[in-house]
Amino acid sequence: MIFREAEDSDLVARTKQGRIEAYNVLVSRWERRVFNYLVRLVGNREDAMDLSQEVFLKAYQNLARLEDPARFSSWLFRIAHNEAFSYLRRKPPELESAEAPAWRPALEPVETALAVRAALEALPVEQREAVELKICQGFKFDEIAEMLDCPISTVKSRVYSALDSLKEFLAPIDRRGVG
Amino acid sequence: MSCPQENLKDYLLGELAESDREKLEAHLEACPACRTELGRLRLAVSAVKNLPEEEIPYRIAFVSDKIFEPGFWRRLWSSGPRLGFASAALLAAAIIIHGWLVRPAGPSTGELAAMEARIQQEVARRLEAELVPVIESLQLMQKRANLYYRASLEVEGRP
Repeated sequence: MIFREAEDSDLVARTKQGRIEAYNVLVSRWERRVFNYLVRLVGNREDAMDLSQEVFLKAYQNLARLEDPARFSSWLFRIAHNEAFSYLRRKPPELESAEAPAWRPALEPVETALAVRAALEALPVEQREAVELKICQGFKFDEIAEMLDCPISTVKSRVYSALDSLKEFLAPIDRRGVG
Repeated sequence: MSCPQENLKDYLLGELAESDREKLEAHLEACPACRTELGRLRLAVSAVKNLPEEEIPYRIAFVSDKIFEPGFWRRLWSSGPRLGFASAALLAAAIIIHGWLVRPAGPSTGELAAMEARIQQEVARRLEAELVPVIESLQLMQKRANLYYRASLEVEGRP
């Protein structure tokens, strides 16, 4: 992680000097994770892709404001968070129920994956985001609090509540021994 | 030790301090209910963590385009030697302002006239000091020449 941060810092510095190829390396490093974060928040691949592009464009245009290049990833996810919630506020509520399911069935072990996706989908978006940032992206509580501009206690509360819900939702699978 | 639910979650998420982790592990040894609870939480965490990632539909890439670039002044400001630029600009501004505010006042017309009169007096004094000895020397040479001429006439007039 330290090595990665050092590399990100170097790429940020080179991008600030106007070297676009350095920024493209940063994009290729983070695009998949940002896209997955967004797709799980907004529940739509096409919109998540549009938002991902917007996130990286805004990050590029505002890179000069990033004071600590070692914190590029949490700064990037903060932009992604703002874009996602701005999108969710704009989105008409009636479209939410009419849309296709957030995730398409994939080729992984079906029962568990579908149950997990359904469980995540059932969570409030704030809890889903907290789980995504903490468990999937591996950020620390204090980093998430900074990203979301809220107290650490709020982040913890969201993650804990989400875990309780997920635990209950997945209990039947647990009893049958499917994991 | 009571059964701390939040500690179980922090333990799973790697957010528990070393000393608390050791205490909790000791508690788990003696508490089947907490072990069961930990197992259920672990299933939830690992299920989410192992959820397959979505493939990105296409790669994002930027080309060097003026539309996307942050602008000359922003890039200049964020460049490495920005402090140097800023310091040099401040120093230059300070020199210009200082030069403008405390520039020396020029002499007035009366002072100029007095200065010119003093210069003329000085020139006259120095000329006189230099020329008088030269003139006196020339006059002395002329006298000597006259005396020599008379003496030569007297010599030629002898039989």
